[in-house]
Amino acid sequence: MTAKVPPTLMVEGLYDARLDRMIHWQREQLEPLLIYRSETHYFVPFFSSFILKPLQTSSAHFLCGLQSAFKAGTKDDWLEWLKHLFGYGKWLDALSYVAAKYQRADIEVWIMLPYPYPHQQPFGDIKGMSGHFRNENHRLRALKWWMEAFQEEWMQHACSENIRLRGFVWGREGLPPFDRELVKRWNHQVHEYHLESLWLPNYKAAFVEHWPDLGFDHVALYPQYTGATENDAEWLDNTTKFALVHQAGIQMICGQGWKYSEDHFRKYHRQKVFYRQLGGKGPFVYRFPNHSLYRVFIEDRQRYDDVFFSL
Amino acid sequence: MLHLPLEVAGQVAEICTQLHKKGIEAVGYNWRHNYLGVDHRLANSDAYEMANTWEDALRYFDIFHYHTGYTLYKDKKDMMMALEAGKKVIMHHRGNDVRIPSQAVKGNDYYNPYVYVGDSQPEEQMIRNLKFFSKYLSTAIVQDEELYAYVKDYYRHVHILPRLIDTAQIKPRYVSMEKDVPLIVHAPTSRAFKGTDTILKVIAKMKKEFPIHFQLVEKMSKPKALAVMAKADIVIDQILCGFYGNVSVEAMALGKPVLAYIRPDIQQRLADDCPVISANPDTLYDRLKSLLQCPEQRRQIGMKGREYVQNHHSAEQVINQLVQIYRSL
Repeated sequence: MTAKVPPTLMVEGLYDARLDRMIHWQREQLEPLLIYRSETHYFVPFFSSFILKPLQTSSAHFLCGLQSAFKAGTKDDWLEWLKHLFGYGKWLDALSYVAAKYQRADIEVWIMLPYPYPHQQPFGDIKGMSGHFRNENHRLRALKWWMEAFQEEWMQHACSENIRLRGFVWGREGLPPFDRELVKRWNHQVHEYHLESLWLPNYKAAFVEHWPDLGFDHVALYPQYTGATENDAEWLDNTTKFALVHQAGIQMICGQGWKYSEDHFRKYHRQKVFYRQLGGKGPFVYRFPNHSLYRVFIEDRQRYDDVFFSL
Repeated sequence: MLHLPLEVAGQVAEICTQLHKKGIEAVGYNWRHNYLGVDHRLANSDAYEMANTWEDALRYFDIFHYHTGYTLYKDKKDMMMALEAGKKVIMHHRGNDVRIPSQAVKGNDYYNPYVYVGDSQPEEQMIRNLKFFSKYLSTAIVQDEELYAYVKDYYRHVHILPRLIDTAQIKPRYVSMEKDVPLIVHAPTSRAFKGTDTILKVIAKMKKEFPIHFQLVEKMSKPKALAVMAKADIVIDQILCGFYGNVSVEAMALGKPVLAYIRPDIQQRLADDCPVISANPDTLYDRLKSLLQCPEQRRQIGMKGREYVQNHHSAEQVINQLVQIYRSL
């Protein structure tokens, strides 16, 4: 039985094509995410759990998601993610610094893994063995290689003294049939490391209701509701009901751009209250598509407060 | 370029593969998952995950090639966004998205009492979609003459892009004249559309008169279906709709004689070298009987079929045509 996952914030970075620049999370940007600052300057703990997710690498390759089909990450791209995660003054180091500064001993981190896209060109050697992602064993070998390389780095860096590695996040929302066995084997591998696994699928996607059988420890559903598309708030209601039945969590969306209405986050908040009242115990994963909680902190104080009080 | 949102009889994967060979980046989204098997040349997923990639896709791709009248969002928001972003967009109609029932039966120069339109979308919906798409898109693609008629009055430009097949991958296996008991194969994806019930009745009757083997290829992965067809002496494709389908193209590539109904008006416009033997429910028995009586004819027609496919459906040739269409957008 795994421990409950506290409200978790997804932090995205590396190359952001929308902004056409590299994003590396630094101390001052992470600070308002760990510590809530009221306008009267009192400081209280904010998020204690973080998912670190890569967007594109410096060569514009995609590491995660269906976007891997556009231009899948190479071995060098996978290593780039690893290198930046442990870079001085950014990502994990920055998180650790802020945790230590505010004596937050409860900070835990999840790392989203690159997705081994099956149609990828030869990936390259993995520990002296070839890697061709048409082969499920090779895909698992690559994931294992990366997770172990990550853990080796983790043990060598001081960040591990201040923050806790909780586990890994599967690098894709959808689960095509050919990924099913791989996912089971990957989950088994994560448990061998005494870590936990998390999946962030879409509500109504294939196999979602079977998430425990697939070996995941936690799951948080994306309700497909953003307020300004054809998917109305009923999707949020239905996701909540489904999540309650299947002991899943829910993703809390606070986005910016064409498909996000002004009040969509408020509806998510209401739904969260409803879910908790009905005994839901799954994780809440906060995501800020097309911006970030840091940008909200800088530009929209009211929204920043709303997010804090929604926890 | 991005092809979306679904695969149609292996055609989208083949298009992407051939575009890659020409150095053009092409990704094919596929939300249709069935017994035909997983094709790793495609990005297999569902509508939800596809929709979530849309903003990245808009930044990444230059051309959006839609298939079968589907869009990611039911309100076609994705297509409109692609246009607003200044991207090139094209619709590739594939069959039951445009086979307008009333028109499929009767046109100015044809009458087809056999055609089955039970799999088609409701007529009003089809017309509404065609009006919508053609209001915003200048160009559409169809795969044959039969479909052209339904679409031509809507768009400014309609191109007939034949079904493509990589003939280097599919080697001919010409029929033997020595075989005592020929094998007839029929491979329906939709029994009603292909006329399978009639075909089965004709085969039952024929079995009383000729020593024949018959194999119905259903719910089989594509490689397995091709392996069965490779052993065939005669392939019966679709005998109702008025033109030949993908099975005919594959069978001809394998060097097999093919029976399928070609509407007379289309036959007139078709290339002279087309060796498909036209057979509808009223003529199938006679056409089949004639083929069964003459092994030499089977072999000759099969060889012509291979040649015809190389001349009209070869992947390289069709892709060059597609690239020209893209350039014209």
